[in-house]
Amino acid sequence: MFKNVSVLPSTLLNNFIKPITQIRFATKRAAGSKTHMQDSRGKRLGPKKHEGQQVTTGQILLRQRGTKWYPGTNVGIGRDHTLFALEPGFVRYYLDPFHPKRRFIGVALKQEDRLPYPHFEPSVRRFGREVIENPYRAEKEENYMSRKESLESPALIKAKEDRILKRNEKLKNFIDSLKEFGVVVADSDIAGIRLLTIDGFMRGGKTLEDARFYTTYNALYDLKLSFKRGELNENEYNDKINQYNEMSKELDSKIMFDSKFRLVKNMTIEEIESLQNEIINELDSIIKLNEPINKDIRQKALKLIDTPGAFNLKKQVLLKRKYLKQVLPELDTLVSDEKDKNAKVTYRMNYETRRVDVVYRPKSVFAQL
Amino acid sequence: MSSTVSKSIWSNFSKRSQSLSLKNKALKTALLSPDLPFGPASLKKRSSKAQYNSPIGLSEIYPLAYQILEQESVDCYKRIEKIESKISTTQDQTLKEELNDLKQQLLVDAEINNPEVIYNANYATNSLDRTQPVYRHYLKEQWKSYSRMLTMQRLESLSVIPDTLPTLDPQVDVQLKFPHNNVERWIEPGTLLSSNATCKPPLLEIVEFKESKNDLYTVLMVDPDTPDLTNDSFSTTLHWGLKDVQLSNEDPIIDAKKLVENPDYEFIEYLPPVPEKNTGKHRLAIWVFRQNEKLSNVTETSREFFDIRKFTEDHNLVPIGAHVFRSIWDRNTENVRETYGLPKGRIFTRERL
Amino acid sequence: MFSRQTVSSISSSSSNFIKQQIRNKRTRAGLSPEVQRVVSQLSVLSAGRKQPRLLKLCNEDYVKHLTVTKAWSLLRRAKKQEHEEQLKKQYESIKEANEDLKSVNKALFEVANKPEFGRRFPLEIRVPTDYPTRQLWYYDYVPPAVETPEK
Repeated sequence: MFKNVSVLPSTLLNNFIKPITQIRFATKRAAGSKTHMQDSRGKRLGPKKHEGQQVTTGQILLRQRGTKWYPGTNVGIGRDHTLFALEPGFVRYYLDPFHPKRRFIGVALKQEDRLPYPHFEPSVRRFGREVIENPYRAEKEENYMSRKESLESPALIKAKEDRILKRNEKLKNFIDSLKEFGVVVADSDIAGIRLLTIDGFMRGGKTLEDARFYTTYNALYDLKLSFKRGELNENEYNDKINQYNEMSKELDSKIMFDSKFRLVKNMTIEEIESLQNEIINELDSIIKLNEPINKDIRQKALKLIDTPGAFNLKKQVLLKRKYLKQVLPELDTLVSDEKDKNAKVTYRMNYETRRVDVVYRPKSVFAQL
Repeated sequence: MSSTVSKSIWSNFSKRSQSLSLKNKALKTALLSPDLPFGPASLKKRSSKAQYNSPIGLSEIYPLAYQILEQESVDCYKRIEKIESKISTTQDQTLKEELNDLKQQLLVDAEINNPEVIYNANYATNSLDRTQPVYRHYLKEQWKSYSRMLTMQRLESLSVIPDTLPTLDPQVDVQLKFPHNNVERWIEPGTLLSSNATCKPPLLEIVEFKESKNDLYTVLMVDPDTPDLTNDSFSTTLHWGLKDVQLSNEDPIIDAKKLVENPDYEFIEYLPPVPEKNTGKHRLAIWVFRQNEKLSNVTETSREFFDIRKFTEDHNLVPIGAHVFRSIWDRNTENVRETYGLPKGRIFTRERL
Repeated sequence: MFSRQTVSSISSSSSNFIKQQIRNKRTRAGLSPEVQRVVSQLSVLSAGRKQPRLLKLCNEDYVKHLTVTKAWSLLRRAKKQEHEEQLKKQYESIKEANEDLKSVNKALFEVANKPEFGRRFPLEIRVPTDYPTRQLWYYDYVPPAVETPEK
């Protein structure tokens, strides 16, 4: 490019001085007569099956350009608007009062049926499948998996195994902890399973009361079903119900779950309230509102707020907001000035004066974690 | 604090329910003052609070607007008093009903423009007091704008209408969930549910928008897709039947607790959907009817070849709400069959003949 | 590209002519370049810039706004109703007067109700138009002489 710089202007200049001649390329009028070559063979359109004729699934009823006829009951429409039967039956050409401008072709399932079928009656349907009687073939069909299912099933089975392992481990822990809380039950497995179910329900969002109710309900429901299957006679059934009720009574009087799903000693509402009051009194005694606190006191307060079984999560957050502020409010005593070398400086937009304020604050007002 | 804009009925709770006021004190002060004395209480972030400015002139015009609307409400309450006295004197039953309807309408009109009520209806929809006509009105508007259309669309596109009952004019919101599972969520109409999710009876919430005190309800759960091999067609199976269920505005839920307490509600025990292999997706339609009187002779109803149209005609039932979910054969269906003592399910050919 | 006249210089030694490919001159459909430039400059701006900014209200103020709107609509409705009632009353009284006239003197009634083509407005009133007149003020207007009783 740069090499040619010296050469280019002279050639261009020469070219521009020379006279310009216009050249037209050859063109050809390639059009013939308007109606020339416009004929083709017939496309064999039209009805292929007539009113009342018997058809089987997939048979073509009509070939057409555009939808001169619309697909009615049990009839499908192809890419080129060909109508075909979706069910075996009898062809009907009909009008539908719901679509006054359309003509339909349908397939009635029975010879005496007329289309359209009554609008408010249950639709007439054909089941069209048979029971597989051959046990070998039946089993094969039962075990058949779609491609999607067969691809996904190994991962699902693995996940289920992991889940069962975890569940068993948890169950073992629960059964072990029964002794700690002094629960005396005949069958510790059933008690453990009860705890496990309550835990699951609570993690799913139920309250403790609801979780306990539905655990009992499910267990008794299962007992009722086994009684109905005839696995238990009436006496055994009643015994089992009593046993379960006794067990659940004993368990619920000793153990409950707190808001973080930890096992704690069961407490009545009054007991919980008195515990809460105790904790709040202690918090008041160790922390004075809007005064800096040190790390140890903060840890102690956190532990108090997180006392098992005392507060629900919402209340815990409220208490933390009240007693353990991240930054203490800007009271006169809690603001320092620029002379303080240890002060922390923050710049903040003041929307009233439209100026940036500089705020000096002692380090102690910020939470020390 | 600046003075309250409410001068008469809307700050007087001697006759009106406490639920017509706002619980949150900061919000209440904000709505009852011409301006926002403590800043915008509904904004949470400190920076957005600091940046917020009310529209110019709102504080001057709001007290006037409030007074106009409050005066309207006072007039409404006066008319209500007159109607009440008329109701107490009249003997004619039809006139009484008419007057009662008018009273309900006026009770809505009296509170519909109350800013506190509007705030509750817009931003506290989960905890509205359903005994108050005005809240029922707002809930109905909300239901009409989405859930009712959704339910009707699902019922029609899945052909639940007219395969089970000819049509439906919905009057109640029917909600459904299966609380025996760990995951508890309301089920959108038309959802495909696993056999494990549906293996125990569901919980139903029937939300009435009219005044309802101890009305009786019938609930039917039917499957219109049970194969009928003799006719090479389908038949309807009754999966669950409840009758004489007593519900009201305060207590609209049919749950396990209620069923345990009142065993005579269930006239057909719950049978979970257990579709056989290759019979496609089964629709499980739940129909809710309001009863005029207690139902009789329902104990002889059979599960198989259940004719829901005949049943409703015999017992003079008019449908007021519906719900639908779907079920298909899965690897757990056989276990559910076993627990319910049912024989092993048949296997059908995969291809249609 | 081809709409412009392209100049191709062919190797200089063989020919002294510049050959120009000329096709039929294409006319540009649509806007002129100046207008097109303005349109494209405007389209670069986001849609949000072209419309007035949305008022952002906190929930309390939104409810207050609803209240004010509702009260305003009620006021207007009352005003409109009052106006309509007044019109109705006027119409009724005109009708009543006409009925009276009809019963008293039919000829007078017919004269009073005779349709007069082109005299829908009083002559002094200017016929309402879409645009103001070219002559805004009629300076030569002389008010009609008031007949004063001769002493």
